[in-house]
Amino acid sequence: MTKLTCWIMLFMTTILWAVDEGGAVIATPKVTRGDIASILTERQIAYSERGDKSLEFNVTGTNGNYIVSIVVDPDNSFLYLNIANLMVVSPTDKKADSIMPALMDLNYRSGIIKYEWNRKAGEVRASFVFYTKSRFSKTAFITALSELVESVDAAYPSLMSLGTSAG
Amino acid sequence: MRYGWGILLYGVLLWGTVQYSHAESQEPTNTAGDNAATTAPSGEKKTGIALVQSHFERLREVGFNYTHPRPEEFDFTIGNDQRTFPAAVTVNEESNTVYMTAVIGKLVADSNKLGTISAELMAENYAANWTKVEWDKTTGNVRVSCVFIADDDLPFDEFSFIMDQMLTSAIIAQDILNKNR
Repeated sequence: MTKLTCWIMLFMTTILWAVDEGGAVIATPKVTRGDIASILTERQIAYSERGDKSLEFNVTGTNGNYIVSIVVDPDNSFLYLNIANLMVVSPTDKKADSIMPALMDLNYRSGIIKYEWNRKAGEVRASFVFYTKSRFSKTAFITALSELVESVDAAYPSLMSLGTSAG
Repeated sequence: MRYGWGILLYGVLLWGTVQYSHAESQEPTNTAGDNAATTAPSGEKKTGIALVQSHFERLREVGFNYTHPRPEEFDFTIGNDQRTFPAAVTVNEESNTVYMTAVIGKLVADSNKLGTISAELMAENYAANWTKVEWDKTTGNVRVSCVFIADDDLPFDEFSFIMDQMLTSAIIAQDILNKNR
């Protein structure tokens, strides 16, 4: 009876320690595409998957319609939120000389959102990057997502006028 | 019955130990060693300004200087052996944002290379993951910036990582300015 009791105690201790070790993993998670998909689902945002790392969804703003893309890279500890293809500016286009300074000034005034230019494709996009190595806040993610859409929607009319009136 | 009380005591102790360990493991971000400085010993979260100040104090211990001219502003310098840049961190506790900026030079609006330089800086914005290069056309200041949304925490490792990234970007952006002068 004594031996049996000891074995039961040892067994229970081992099982409970093992369960608890499993719980500790939660404290230092990697943010996965599944995590982001869950947040979007919670907020009733219909998204689609693109490739291995991205999620996309459509947003209708006051001034235009946008495709929001979220690239999730757990291995490099970042989330890249962006709205691509806002406009296309070829490096050889004469309008580039007046559009680029305007975009640089927009960057100064656009708070947390960055406007960037892919010289090769000519594409202008807006973005925000999260560093997720040591933490991830759902609230901060939602804030950044909202800021991205609001910033682009506010800037969209002037971006469009740059494309047509510049040069 | 001889072992009844012993087993009961064992059960209670085991349950208590597991509950305590489990509660510790649920602390959201303060389990990693690098993050320990972001939380007061009492476990109470620091506000944005106090948090940033604790990071600067930690850096001061290794010879990094900063000034604190206003409660929400911290001024310092980033650089290497060749060049330095005046930098600042501004904390907005209402929006839970922490802005880090470094001024890298001037670009006047009537420069005949305005388009060329801006294009190169916009391409650098595409290449850089963590930082943004921006231009204030009113003052002509070109600066590198980065923003944190610090609603729950701002770990020291993230703060120092971004400082390093700021320096890298500042050097690249200043090279673009200089080569087009």
